[in-house]
Amino acid sequence: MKRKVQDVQKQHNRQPQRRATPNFRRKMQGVMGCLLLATTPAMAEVEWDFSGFASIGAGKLSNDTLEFMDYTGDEWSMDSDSALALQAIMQTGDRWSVTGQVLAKGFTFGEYSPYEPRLEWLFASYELTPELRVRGGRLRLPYFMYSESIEIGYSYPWVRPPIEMYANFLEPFANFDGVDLTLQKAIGEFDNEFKVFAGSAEAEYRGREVDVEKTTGLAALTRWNEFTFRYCYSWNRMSIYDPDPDIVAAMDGYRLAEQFATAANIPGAEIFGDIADTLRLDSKVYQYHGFGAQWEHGPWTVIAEKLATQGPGKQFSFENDGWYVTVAHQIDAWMPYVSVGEYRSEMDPKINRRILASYEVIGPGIAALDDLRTRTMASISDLSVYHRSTTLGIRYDFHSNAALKLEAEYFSFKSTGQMLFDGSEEEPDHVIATSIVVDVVF
Amino acid sequence: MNKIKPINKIRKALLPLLLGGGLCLSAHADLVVVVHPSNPVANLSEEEVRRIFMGRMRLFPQGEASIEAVDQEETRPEFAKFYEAISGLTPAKLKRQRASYLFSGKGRLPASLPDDAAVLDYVANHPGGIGYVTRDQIDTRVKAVLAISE
Repeated sequence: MKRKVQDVQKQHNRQPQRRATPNFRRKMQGVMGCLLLATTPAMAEVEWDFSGFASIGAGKLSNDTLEFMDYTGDEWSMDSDSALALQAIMQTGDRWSVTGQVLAKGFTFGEYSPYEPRLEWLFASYELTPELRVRGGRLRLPYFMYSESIEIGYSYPWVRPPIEMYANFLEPFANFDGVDLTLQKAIGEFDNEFKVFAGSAEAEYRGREVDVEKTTGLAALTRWNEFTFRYCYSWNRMSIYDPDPDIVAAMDGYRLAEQFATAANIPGAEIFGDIADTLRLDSKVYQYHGFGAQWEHGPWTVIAEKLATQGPGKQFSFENDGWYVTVAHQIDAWMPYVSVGEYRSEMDPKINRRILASYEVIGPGIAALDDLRTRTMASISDLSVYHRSTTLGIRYDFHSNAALKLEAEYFSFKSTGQMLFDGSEEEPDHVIATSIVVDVVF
Repeated sequence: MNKIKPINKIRKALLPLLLGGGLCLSAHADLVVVVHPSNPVANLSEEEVRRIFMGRMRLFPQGEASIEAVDQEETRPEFAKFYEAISGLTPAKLKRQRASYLFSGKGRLPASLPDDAAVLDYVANHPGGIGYVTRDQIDTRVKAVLAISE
């Protein structure tokens, strides 16, 4: 089952489908409304700023049965860490500004074709007081220390932020359409920033449709001397629809078993309906907690982050934990860095327990049902992921607006997790990802 | 202003000779932060100046006028000295932080101007203007709100 799931995922990766969402037009109208609102009082004095950034990267894996983004063991590929973005900021002298940024990425897990331009930011911003700002439009969810600059390779040490924290599965939570309110307030020696946000998001992730109907949360950051600490909490009511024919067939299979058991007056028949429900997510709540700390001491930089997510405990529910620590040291234009991290994703154990319990309702003997149950349990255990990584890299600022980075990342895992395994032989327990990238800002 | 400039030029040329070591004047004199004379702000703390130039404050604390901050070009010693004093970051770290700031929806970076004279012109002509210049370049068209010493 897993292999087929991966095949479907790969097809989706290679031939992404544009989805015309019914909400899209409404949302764009909202965004345009914000823009109009912002441009109306802008007649006084308007200033424009144009800028951009770009990255061009290449990478390769040490094992040719795996796939990490578009990196494989066969040859160097160039899309995963390559991106180009253009930005315009329009500022008026009267507290308003409008920011737009268009990004084209070489690789995403979502519905975009390689290098298809997409709207990363488009918002109007208004300064209510010297300390309070409100923004509305397309924004980014502030989940991580580097959430808002995730694509700007130039702004951080690594080739890409560590995937133990900046996990692939969180990609649908990159952007949202909504509002946020930011308070900048110094209290004694602490320079604080509090943000609250609310909105919605829609995205695809490896062929699954992820609809974040409602997202809301807060982010708090404080700077004190050389230290920065941050915390983000987010509450998401969301649905996931998986069009994978295997999943659809499995759900139908369990529903059929439920009907059969009900018709035969077998007590506990509803357990099959419950199992079918664990294969979908329908308007349930996922919560996110992210912690971050950074220490800037002369040439030293230490960055640490940790995430924890909580599933709904019903339906398709899993929990994730991840953390990393990076130490970097600047020596003139060179900055070597080392990073370690760990990531764990576990399916709700109730799902497996329920399948085992279903054998007491209908015991083994019906081949199709037994096969279905065995495969579901196997695929659920495949969704439980654990990996650890150690990264060595160096950044070289060869120009005042450009940096070259070279990085080797050693992953060891129980399950290949955020990488895809082609299933051709025994699953490897480690892999080295080597990548090189040039980041520029202009 | 036309009267001041030539005098400054002469002083700039003479002072290093007087100091005897061929010292670059602008790299060693103190900096002052200047605003438009009509700005109700009488003085700013180093903390407030840091927040303004690091983009964490966009309206002046008194009067709530929009801030229009200007930088000197990155290659100028004034730029390096100013940011070292207010942020304590190494030039490489500052550069990364500013790139992150610019592209993460937080706002614009201060506009970049070629020298002290251009900063003075800008601030003198913009009620919301704020910049930093070498102390002895300051003239009556602007108001000093903070001195930054080495």
